[in-house]
Amino acid sequence: MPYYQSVLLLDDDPLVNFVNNQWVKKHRLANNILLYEDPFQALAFIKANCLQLRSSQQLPDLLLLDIDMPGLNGFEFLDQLAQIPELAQKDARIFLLTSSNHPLDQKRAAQYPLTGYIVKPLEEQQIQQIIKASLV
Amino acid sequence: MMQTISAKNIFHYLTQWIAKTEYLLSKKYSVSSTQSLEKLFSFQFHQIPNNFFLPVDIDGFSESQLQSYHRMPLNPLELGIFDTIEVKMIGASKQVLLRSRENSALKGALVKTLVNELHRLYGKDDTGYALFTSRDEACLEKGAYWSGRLWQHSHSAKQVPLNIYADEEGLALTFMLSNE
Repeated sequence: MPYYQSVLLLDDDPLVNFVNNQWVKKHRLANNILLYEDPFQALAFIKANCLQLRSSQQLPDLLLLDIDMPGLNGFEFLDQLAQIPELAQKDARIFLLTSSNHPLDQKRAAQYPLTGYIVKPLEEQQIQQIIKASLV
Repeated sequence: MMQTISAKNIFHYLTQWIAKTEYLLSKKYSVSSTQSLEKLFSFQFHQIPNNFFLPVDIDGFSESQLQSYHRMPLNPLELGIFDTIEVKMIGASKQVLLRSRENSALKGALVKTLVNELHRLYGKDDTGYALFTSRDEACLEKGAYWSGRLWQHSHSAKQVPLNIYADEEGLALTFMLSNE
C-alpha cells in the first residue's frame, strides 16, 4: 500500500528526476507520480487542478523540490505554493531535495513550513524519513 | 634523414601523451559502464529508437524536456524476458524501459541470471541487495510487487542509473543514458 496518494518530483535535471522516480517506485511511495522539470509547469498543473476540479484529490500530498532551478528557484516556488490554500488543506508533505548544504539555504529553508531538507542524492535513509513523515 | 630528438620534441610528445591519458581517464567510467551494460543486450544504445519503433504521443506528459517517445514490441523477447521496449529522449538523456507483461514467475530463472549479471557489473545495489535470492523468487512467484534492485550510482555520476522491479504492469528494467 503506497504511503502517499500522489507525489510531485520537481528537478530541472532529467537524470535526477529519473533516479528520484526510481526510488519512489522502489518503495511504492505513491500511487501517482508527477514528474516536472519546469517549475512554472508544475505550478500551472497545481493551480489548474485547484480551479478545474474544485477538489484537492488530484493535488500531490508529497512534493520533492529542487532549489536551484532556472526561472523560479525552490524558495520562489514555495512562495507561490503558499498562495494556494487547497494545497495547505491537503496537508501536503514538502521536502527540499537539493545538492546545496549551504548554511544560508538551510537557514532560508527554516523559514518555510517544510517537512524536511534533504541533501542529494536521495538514499535509503532519506526515503525512510519521507515514509515516516507520511505516518505522522 | 635522421630525426634529431630535441628537448622541444620530447616536451611535445609528453604533453600529447598526458592530454590523451587524461582524456581516456575522464571517459573511463562512462565508456566502460555503458559498454559493459550494452553487452547484455541485442541492440546498441545509439541505434535506438530506429525506424521499427512506433512514436507515442507526448502531449500531456509533464516532462518539459521530453522530445520524443517511441515504443516497439520485441520478437524474439529481449534476454528471453522482455516483450516491449520504450525509449524516451529527455533533454540530453535517453531513457530506456524494457517491459515484460507476462507472468514473471515463468521467467524466474532468466530474471535470476539477469540480476546476478547486473550485480557482477555494478556490485551491491543502493539498498545493499546483491545476488538474486529465494526472497526475490518468492515475490515473483506470488506475482506481487518486487522491489528488485536499484543502482543510482550517486558516487560515480557518469555510470548508468538502472532499476529492475516488478509492479502491476509486470517486470520492468529501466535505465537512463546521458549524452553529456
